[in-house]
Amino acid sequence: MTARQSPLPMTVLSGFLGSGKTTLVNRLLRDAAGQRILILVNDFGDIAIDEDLIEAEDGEMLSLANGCACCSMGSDLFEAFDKALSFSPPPDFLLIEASGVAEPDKIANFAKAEPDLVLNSIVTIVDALNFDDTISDPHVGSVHQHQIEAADIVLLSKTDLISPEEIAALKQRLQKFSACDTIVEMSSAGSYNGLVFGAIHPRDDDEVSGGKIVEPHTHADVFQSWSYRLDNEIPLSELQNLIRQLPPNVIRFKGIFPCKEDGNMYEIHRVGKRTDVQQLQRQQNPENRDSRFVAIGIKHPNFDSQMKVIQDQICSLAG
Amino acid sequence: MSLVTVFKAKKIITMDPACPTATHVAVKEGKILSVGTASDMDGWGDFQLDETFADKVIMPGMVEGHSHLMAGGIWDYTYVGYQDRVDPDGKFWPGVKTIEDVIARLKEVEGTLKPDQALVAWGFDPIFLEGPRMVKTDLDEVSKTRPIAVMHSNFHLMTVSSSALKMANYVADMGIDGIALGDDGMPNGELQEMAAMFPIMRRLGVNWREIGRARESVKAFGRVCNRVGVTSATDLINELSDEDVTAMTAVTGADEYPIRLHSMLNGLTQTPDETRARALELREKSTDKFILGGVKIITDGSIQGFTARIRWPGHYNGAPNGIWNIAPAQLNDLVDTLNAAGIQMHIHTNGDEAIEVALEALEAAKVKNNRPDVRHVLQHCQLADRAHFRKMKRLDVLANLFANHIYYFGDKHAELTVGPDRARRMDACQSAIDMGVPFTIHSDAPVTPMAPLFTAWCAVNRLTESGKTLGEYEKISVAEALYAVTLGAAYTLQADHFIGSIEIGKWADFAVLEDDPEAVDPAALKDVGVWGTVLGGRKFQIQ
Repeated sequence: MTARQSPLPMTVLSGFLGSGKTTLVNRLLRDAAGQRILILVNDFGDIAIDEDLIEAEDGEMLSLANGCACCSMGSDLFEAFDKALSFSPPPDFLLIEASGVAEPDKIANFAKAEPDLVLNSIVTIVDALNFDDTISDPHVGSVHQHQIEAADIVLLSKTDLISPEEIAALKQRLQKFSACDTIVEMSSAGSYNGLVFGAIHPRDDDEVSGGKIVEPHTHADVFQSWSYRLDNEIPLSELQNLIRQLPPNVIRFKGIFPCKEDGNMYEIHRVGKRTDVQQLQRQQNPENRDSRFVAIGIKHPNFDSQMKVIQDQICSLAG
Repeated sequence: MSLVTVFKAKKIITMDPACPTATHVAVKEGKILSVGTASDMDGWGDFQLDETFADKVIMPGMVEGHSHLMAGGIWDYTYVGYQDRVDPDGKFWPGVKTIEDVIARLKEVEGTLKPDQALVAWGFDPIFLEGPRMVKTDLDEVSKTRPIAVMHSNFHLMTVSSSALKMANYVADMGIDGIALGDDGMPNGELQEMAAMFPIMRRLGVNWREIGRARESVKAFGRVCNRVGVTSATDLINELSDEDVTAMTAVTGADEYPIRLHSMLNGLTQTPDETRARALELREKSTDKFILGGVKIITDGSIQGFTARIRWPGHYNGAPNGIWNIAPAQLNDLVDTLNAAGIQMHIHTNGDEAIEVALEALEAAKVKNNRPDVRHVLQHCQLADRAHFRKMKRLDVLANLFANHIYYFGDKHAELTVGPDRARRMDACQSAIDMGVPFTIHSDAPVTPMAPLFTAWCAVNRLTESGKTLGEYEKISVAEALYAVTLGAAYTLQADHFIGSIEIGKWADFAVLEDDPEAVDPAALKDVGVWGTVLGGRKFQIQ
């Protein structure tokens, strides 16, 4: 499907200087796999995109061979968002790489307020090696703490440079700051697109009433996904309760379903601890009123059985 | 016809201690040829005597060291502020004192608009209005169908009509920060901060930066300056694209353009190396009336918006510390790169933590590269304490202090932002003098209205809007304040060798006044009438 999702889903990528935002941006672009991602970078025009990805360069705009684009957003958020929303052809995802001292929730507010945008997630990278220095810095420590508190997903970078004990201790400290309990260690391999964009869609090829677990493509992949489709209407409030209690290794969950209470189509989206529900504005094809669910989680031996439990619960909700 | 014109005046204030006052000034090729008495002029041969100013007072053309081009273009929209203002074309806009006044003014303008045009107003300040806060239903009285947006004076809030709310689909409580709700739980029309305002502004086509860029806006800015005796003014942050530079060179280059425009490149949109290269390139494009080459760097936010970076003990009302626009480590790199290249920096620092971080960056850069050819400026510099001024002196760093804040926001600073004691030493002109830090004072127009005689009055009297004196010690004399808005400002622009005083060889840029600012009661300094200006020997009477 090439038609743009409307409104445009926006992810805010936050993190202090040197935490690895640009490295992640490069990986996201490389792994776009047909998704058209528009990235607005801050940190003063320094678009450090790998040369081999670039197809064309025009002033502040880099076009990539895979249909993605990268653009410097300057210091004026008004202009940046105006540019993103008038971008042609319209992208599938928008990622804002916030400056090292930006407050990501303030940027996320644009997506909450603007009808043509929808907030996908706030992802904050924490530099595991330099965390202590940054968090105790008298000028920027509180700024970084705020970035962590605002995050739906915290990514830990440079964990290969510290010991497993140090990682565990750091995670404990972060749990205290963070409103979210989704803390993911980054590895040098595997795709992070699913995690950052939730670029997972309820699939048409799933059998009705059949669940499906997608095993990691390679051993390096750190994520697994699950999808499920059934023919029934679902009671919204009970589904919300169920989704709030997902196990912590399930990072994203998304469902599109006809609601039992009012018959309308709804989308439910959970990332980290945040759950958003919205009624779909588009008139759905009346033939296409089945319920579809997808999830993405950190690779875990019990993922399969965990999701089987969820699946049975959804099935019993549908009654 | 003679090549020399001699202006005769009741009094000429020169800012030259060797000849502090005069009665005649001769002008040739746009420059000052001679200053003194009638007989001093004789030796230069034939001249044409111009007696237009025979009963007026001439002083050096005033220099606004911190203003924005938007001060011109903003008048495309309807003014609904509490204080009286005069627009660039001389129309007097009395301040609105009640919500009814606002509605009446908007109704009047509404009748003049095209059917598909939005009604946009600016300058509104609910702090000064008694009674309930203005909401969407008040604006719906003006029109039920035409979208209406009223921007508040601080540019961080706006109040909009029901029809405007509908455009952005703000029709229910969506739990979004910045969309204020009424007692009925529905959006009441007040929107706070850019994220909540953006959907409305985008749909109404209101873009503040575009307002500053437009050719007409640059012209209107010139008229704003002319009305208050300013002959050199800063455009203190601009992206300065090639296209804009070409357009601005043409506008400012016209004989009828009344000021010299000093435009500063935004230092936060490119890498330090790119900013350095662009600033050096721009410097070469300077003309006599369009001066380029400086860089503006914004470090923190504003004190009244609680976004300035403040040291311990923090905000008086307990509000959390403010924001950085650039991380201190990045500021160090940028300051080092630009200082090494001899590029002048105007560093926006409101809070004392931002001042401290900027001074540390400047100190490190100056230890590395001694560039006696460049003088950097801390802009606003509102919460600098005396130790900061001593450090500024040691580092040869200049200050541009926001004297207008004392009047417009002083009460709020004493009550809310920093408390009475720190408020008393805000915008500390006397401390700058004590420590020998060269300084000027500014309006930050359109944040507060441009009028250097008013700004000077603020520095001399330090009276707040409610009439209280804020910081007796930091008051300065009229002579010191007049110096600050002329030669003091020129020094901060590294332009003191060609503007800022009436001395031989400098541009013949004058402010022409109806009264003698040195002789009037200091409490009446702001009320001295302005006839207009002279720029490069050409008269510009206020239209």
